[in-house]
Order: sequence, then C-alpha cells, then structure tokens
Amino acid sequence: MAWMIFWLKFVNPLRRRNPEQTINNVHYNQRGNPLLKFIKSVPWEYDDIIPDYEIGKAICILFLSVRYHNLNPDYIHNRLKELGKKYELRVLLVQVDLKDPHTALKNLTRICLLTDMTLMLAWSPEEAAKIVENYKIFENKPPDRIMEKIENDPHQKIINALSSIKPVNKTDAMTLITRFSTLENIIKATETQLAECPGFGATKAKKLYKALHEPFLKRGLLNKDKPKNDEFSENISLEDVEKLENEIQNEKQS
Amino acid sequence: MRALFVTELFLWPRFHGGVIKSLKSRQAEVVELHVRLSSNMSLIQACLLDIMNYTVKQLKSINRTLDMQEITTENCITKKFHKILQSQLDCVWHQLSTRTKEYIQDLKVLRTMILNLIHDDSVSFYALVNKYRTPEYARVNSGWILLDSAETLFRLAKARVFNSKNEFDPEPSPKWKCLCDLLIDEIPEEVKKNKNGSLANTKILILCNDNKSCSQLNHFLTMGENKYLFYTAFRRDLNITSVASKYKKLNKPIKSEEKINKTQKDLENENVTELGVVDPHLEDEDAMDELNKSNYVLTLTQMASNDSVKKSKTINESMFEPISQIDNLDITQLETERPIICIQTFKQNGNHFSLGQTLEALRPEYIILYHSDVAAVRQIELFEVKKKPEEPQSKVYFLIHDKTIEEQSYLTSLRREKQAFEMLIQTKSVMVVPSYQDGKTDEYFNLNVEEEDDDPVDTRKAGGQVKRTKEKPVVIVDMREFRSDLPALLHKKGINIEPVTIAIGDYILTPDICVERKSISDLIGSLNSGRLFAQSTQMCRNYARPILLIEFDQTKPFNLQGSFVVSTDISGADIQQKLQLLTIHFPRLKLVWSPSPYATAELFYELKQGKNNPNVEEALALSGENTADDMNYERYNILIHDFVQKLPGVTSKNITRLMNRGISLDHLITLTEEQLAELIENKNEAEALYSILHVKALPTESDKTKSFGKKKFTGKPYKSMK
Repeated sequence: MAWMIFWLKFVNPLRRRNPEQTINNVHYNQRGNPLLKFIKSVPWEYDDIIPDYEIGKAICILFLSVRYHNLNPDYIHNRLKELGKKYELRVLLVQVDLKDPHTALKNLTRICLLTDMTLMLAWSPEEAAKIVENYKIFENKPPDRIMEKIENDPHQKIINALSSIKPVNKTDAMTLITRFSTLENIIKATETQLAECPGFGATKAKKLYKALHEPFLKRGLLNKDKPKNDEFSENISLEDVEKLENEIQNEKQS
Repeated sequence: MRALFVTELFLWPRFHGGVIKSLKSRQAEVVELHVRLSSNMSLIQACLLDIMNYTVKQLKSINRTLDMQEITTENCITKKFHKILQSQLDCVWHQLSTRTKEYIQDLKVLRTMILNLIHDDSVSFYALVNKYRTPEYARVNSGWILLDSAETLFRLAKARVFNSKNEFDPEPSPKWKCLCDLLIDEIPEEVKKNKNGSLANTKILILCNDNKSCSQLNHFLTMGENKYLFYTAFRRDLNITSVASKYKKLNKPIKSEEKINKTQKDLENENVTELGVVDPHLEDEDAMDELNKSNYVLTLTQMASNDSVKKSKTINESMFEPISQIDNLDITQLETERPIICIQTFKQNGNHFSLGQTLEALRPEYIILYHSDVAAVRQIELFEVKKKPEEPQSKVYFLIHDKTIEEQSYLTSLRREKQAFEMLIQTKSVMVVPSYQDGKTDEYFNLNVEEEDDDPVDTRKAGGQVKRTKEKPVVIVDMREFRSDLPALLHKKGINIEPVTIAIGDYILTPDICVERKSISDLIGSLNSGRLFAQSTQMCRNYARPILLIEFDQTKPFNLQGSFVVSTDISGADIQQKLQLLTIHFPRLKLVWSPSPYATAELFYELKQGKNNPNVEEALALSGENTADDMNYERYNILIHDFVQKLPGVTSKNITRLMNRGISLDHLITLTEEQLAELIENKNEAEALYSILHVKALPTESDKTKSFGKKKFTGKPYKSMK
C-alpha cells in the first residue's frame, strides 16, 4: 500500500468551497487510494478541501485504514484538530484491513465519541466506495425510506395524527371526527366543548386543547422573528428634531 | 456446576452396571408388532420425503454461512423440530431472505402432512392434503407444489379415499385391524391361559401420542370402522357423491354422549338405507371435546364376551362402549366386574410423570403402545421393576409401522438418548474443574469481587475534606434488555445496574448519554419497519449524546460482519443505504460498533469515567412528550410538529416551511387555499392540506383480501415485483 507511505502533507487550505458544486470533492492526499477506483456512480474531482471527501455543504468524510492507524496513531488526531467543528455530519470511514482490529477500533470509537464524529466501517475498498457513493446519492433525500409506512387514506391519516397526541387514542379520534366533522371545527372548539365528548374528561380535553393551540416555533424563537419595535430604526429628519426641541423648550417654559 | 459450587459429577446411564442389574431383575414381556403400511401409504410417504429433501436442500443452498446442521430431513420428523428451528434461527430471523422464510414455512406444512399420514385415518389425510391444492396456496408457497412428487401425492391421497368408480371407499388404517385383533382375540386368549385371571378383571391400557389420536381410537372402537370413516368425512366437509356398497347399511352416526348399547341383533334388524347427516352444531362441540379429553375408558359390550359371537363377527361392528361417569372418577374405584380399557396420552396436560401415576393407580396387566415413545418405555420399565413379586407380569404390545418414519423417529430418539449420555461422559472426562469451585476457600470470591478503591483521604487538600463523594457507578438498564448477556457483564465489571422500564433507549450511562443497543438482526428489522427512526428521534430530542450501539455476533468471523444478511439470495446493500440515511438525518447520533458484549461492557465503563451517575427519576419522567428543558436542538414544539407531520399534504420536504411560516394551527385554518399554496410553494399539497382542514373526511372501505394461512414472518410482505 504505497499510498499510505507517500501521503502528501497538505498545505494550509484556502477554503475554496464552492457551494453550488454538487460534485463530490476529494482531497489531494487521497490520490492512490484504491477506494477511488470503485466510485462509479457519482462524479468526483480533486479539490483543495480540509476533509478527505466533501459531499455538498453538510457532509464530510475522513478516511482511515486500521493498518495505517496502527502505524501512525497521531495522524487522525491532527486531521480532526484541523477539521474542527465544521460540517453538520462528519463521518470517519474506517476500512478494516486487519484480522484483529479490536483495540484499534475501540480507540477510534472513543475518539469519535469525543470529537462528535460518526463512525462507519467498511471491510474492503469496494465497500468503502459504496459508502461514499451512498452519501452522495442520499445527500438530500427525505427519510421516508426508514420511516413507518403510512397509508394514504386521508381519513386514516387524521386518526393517526390525532392519536399522536398523547392522551388521545384511536377511538377518541373517531369520536372527535364524528362529532366535529372537520379538523377546522376541532381546532376551533373550546376546551369545554372538547370535554363534552364521550370519553373525554377535563384533563384529556385540556391536554388536547393545549397541544392543538401550541405555536409551531418555540417561544424563544418566536420573538426573534417578530419585527423589533425599535424606536431608533426609523430615520429622523432635521425638521422633526427641531420640532421636538421646540416642544421641549415650550414645556420647560410653561 | 459452578453456580451450585459442586465439584464432583456422577453419571449413571442405562448401560451402567448397577442400573442394568436392577432393571433386569424383573422385565415385562414385550411383543413388537410390526404393522405393514398399505402400498398407497408407502408411496405417499416416499413422495413426501422426497419433497422434504428438496426443500431442505434449497434452504441450505441459499444460506451457506448459517449453521444448518440440525435442519435435516431426519430431524424434521422429530417432535422437537420447531424448537430446533427456533433456537437456530430466531436470533438471525431478520437477516434471512423471504425465500428462506417460505422454505421454513413449507417444511412445517410438509411435516404436518407426513405425521398425519402415519397417525391419522385416510379421510383426514385426504382433507388435509386437499387444503393445499388451491391456487392461492400455489402462489405463496416456495415451489414444491410444482414437483412431480407433489402430483403423485395428490393423486394417491385421493385414491386412498375414493375407489376407481369415484365412490367413497376409504382405506382403513393398518393399525386398527391389529388393535382390534389384540383386544378381541389375543388378550382373551392370554387371559384364559393364565389361570389366575379372568376376563372380567383385566385392565388394559392403550397409550397414544396426543388427544386427537385418543379420541380417534375412542370413536373407532365405539362406532366401528366404516361408521367412523363416514362420520369423519362429514366432519371434514368432504364432497361425497356416491358410496360403496358396504356403506349403504350404515345407521346414523352415534354422538359421543349417547351411551347406546348396540347389540348385534339390533344392527341386523335395522335396514336403514338413508344416510344420516351429522348435526353441524354437534361438530363443534365434538371438536372441543376431542381436544380436551385425553382419558377414555371403555369396556367390552355384553355380546362380545360371548363365545358364539366371536365366530361371526366382522370388524365393522362396534364391540365396545364407553363407561358412564368416567371423567372425575378415581380409576381404582371402578367396578371390576367388566374388563376395562383405558385410552390415554403419554403426557396428560403436559405432565411428564402422569404416566407413572396412572400406572401405579390402574395397575394394568396389558399395555398397548399404539404410538412409540422412549420416555414411556422407560417409565413402564420402572413400573414393572417396582411391582411386588406376587403381581403378574405385564405384557406390553408395541405397535409400530414397518419401514416408516415412525419407526425411524423412534430409533432416532433412542440413538439421541445414547449419544447424549456419551457426550456427557466424554465431556466429564476432559472437563477442568478448578479446585476452589466448591466455595470452601476464599479464593473463589476474591476473583470475582468488584475492586474497591478507597482513596485515602488526603489531608493536604482542603484540610482533609473529601472533595467528591465516591459514588458507585450506576447504569440504568431497560427491563427488556435482560434477555441479553450485557447486563450481567456490566455487573461483573463492577458497575451497578438499575433495572427500570424506560421509554427511551436501552441503557442510560450518564445524564447526557443514552444508548440504544441493536444486534444485526434487530438493526435490519427496525430499520425496515421504521422503529429505529422513531427511537432515534426520541433519543435525540431528550439526550445530549445519543448513541446507537451495533453489536456484532461474536461467533462469526469478523470479516463477514460487513455483509449484514445471512442468506445469499439477498444483498445487504439496502440495509447499508438505510443506515447511512439514518446518519444523515441524525447527525448527532453516534454509531458504536462492538464485536461482543465484553467489549461493550468495557466501553461503557470507560465512558462513565469521571461523569455523574444518571438519575432514575429524570429518566422515567422522559416520556417523549416534551423535550427536556435545556435541550435547544429542536426549533419546534414537538407535539404540534408530530401532529402536523401526519396530516395529508404534509411531507418531510414542506414541513420545515410550514413550521417556520405557519405560526400555529389557529392561523392555518384562517388561510385560503391560495395562501396555503403560497406558504408551502406547492399547489397539490396545499390542496390536500386545505381539504383535510375544512372538508369532512369520509372513511373508505378497506378491502383486505385474506392471505393464505398464517405467516410467521414480519417485515415487508413478499412481492414478486418491487
């Protein structure tokens, strides 16, 4: 594995990150990594970046082989220090190429937990390439594949939605719908009206009412979005200043 | 042995000298009767074995890495097959492909068929086989229906019941004739030879495998062969268009509660040509009775004991009648003027020692083993040896089909018994028992105790005050985790365990760290079903450092762990993608890959160094309704967020826009459809959302077509095209 030994020490990066580019960016020091041969479904190019692989704005991957780590245990610490806290998802892709990697893996696990990295294991260059490709493919995809499959029937959906509020179960949801017929009416109902439904006591109605009328954003954030009532935000013209001064002077006199 | 602090082990198998001597002192006389199968039956048996072989071969070819030693055709026939399957396959259930699961299901079906062939009558067998001859089953099964042997099987099963003119003429079970001969001819002959006994005092015990056979025998003996077969045909809803001649004279089938004493004269006189129909109501009751009753007592009818009758009898007539008031009666109190025949199962209600108790109570002189069971044989042996010398020697009749799987499985169980003992003896010879195992010295306890480190109080620091109280490390463990080894190993490492039922996570190490433990099979199952996503959401909302622990199978070589699945006809690439998708959506979730529970225990210990212990009340209070107060990771109030997420028209793409600009539900309902469309930036979704808010939603009729049979596998149903 000659590439391990002839690893280029990269120059202080200029941080040329082009956000519009959607192509996979690869660090220069990855040249010679057999992994690159197997990346077939996504285009990539070399670029001056901090991590080894940069995927979009949010995901970056650092590559490490267990054998190299055993020879140079400090290497990964330096790389991590330079990476710092940039990127939302930071992946440490470890290729397991030793028969008994357990001590090294334990060490790496601990490092990942301390430096906020996600550890992914690959057992061959092909697998590692597949992992890099998958991150590119799924970069912006919604999590529907790993979520529960929900039916498309709207009536069923309302029942599910209402049952997601803790004290309400499916039968209660059915009662609500039969009584109030539309969601709008349920939302408009007062707490007493909700409590009148069979199966609804005071606490349940209260919890439901509270849940339905909760603002979307959390309170602290809500204030930030409101326009600040700033006295000084408007431009004051000279005439106004004179007027104010006159007023004050008039008051003083009287 | 270690847990019991025992150092010496004595093994006394059957072939031990002392045991043999004692058993040989008094032995029962055993007569083995090998009953021939009818030619159709042997052919059917061959077909079924053929099909089973094929299925097992296919199963093994797509699961090469799995240890399938125990799943052979031979073992498929044993009683414990489902337990073998469970122990081998449950831990990797989600790593198996759908085809594997289908093969296993089919193996179970074939097994019921072959057992039914030997033990049940031809009519029931035909009804069972017909059930699988439908097109629905052909679609869901794994392919054995298409084999030639399957075709032969169906043909022969029908031939056993309907003769060449398509008339109802079922084949009798071979053992029935044998049993009747025994009961009517042999035993009275024996009794006559024996000067002490008389027919009236004889007690006969018939033993079978299960309640179904018991009731079958009971019906057969009370009703007579033809009547019983006819009755069974009605029970199983068979289509009968015409019957053979000997059935034309049948009377109405007798219900089990009636104690009609049918004499031979009565049967001759009644020339009934009409065919009775069984009351359907009664069928259900009978079925329940059959399943619950395991103890039948019969006696010979008056006529049967007459010598003159014996010469002209045919096997069709009922020669036996049930004794009234049987159920809760103590057997010893039964009047002994008439010969008593008891039909029982080997284990009543699952009680392994019930046979011994029955033998002691009843003291039968003749025992007929209708089915073979090694444990029963052993118990009879014991009973015989324990008898007092003045009691007569018992005679045991062993009915077994010749050259069948019944014989085979009996011999197999004998072999397994021998092998089990041999293995024990061999293990004992090479076992290493440490000398301190008996616990009498202190050495044993010293090795396992937790390390107590008492820091001596340093007076130089703040005048001797102990800065931090040294707490014993505690980990909160979810109750459901106790099925695995990890809690025990944690305890061994010196960490105290607090078992609690928590809603989020499996192990709470510190107030910040929450661990969800998954084996590979669990990982696949929960990724596919959506559970892992929900669990991760909860963990990330409530803890600062959520961890997903993936535990590998330590018995598998580490280099194979990359391929998540075991069956070779599916690929694990799908799972890899889903796992990566999970990491993209939960960047705060850390992954830990552990090779074994031992490594995990070490890791937990290290993670807890220097940190506080978790608080039980806090952990219990986290039910997923609110985020913890100091959690700033969520922008939105989670209750309303989850509610809106489930509404039609809301997708994972537009929910952020909706949440940011929507302000609240009250505000949303005031908007018009165009305003909603502007908010969401998508017309169709806005339309769906608007309609759900303002228009009454009607429940649709869900049309569920019933799938064939009961499927064990969870996860995605099998679809030929995806």
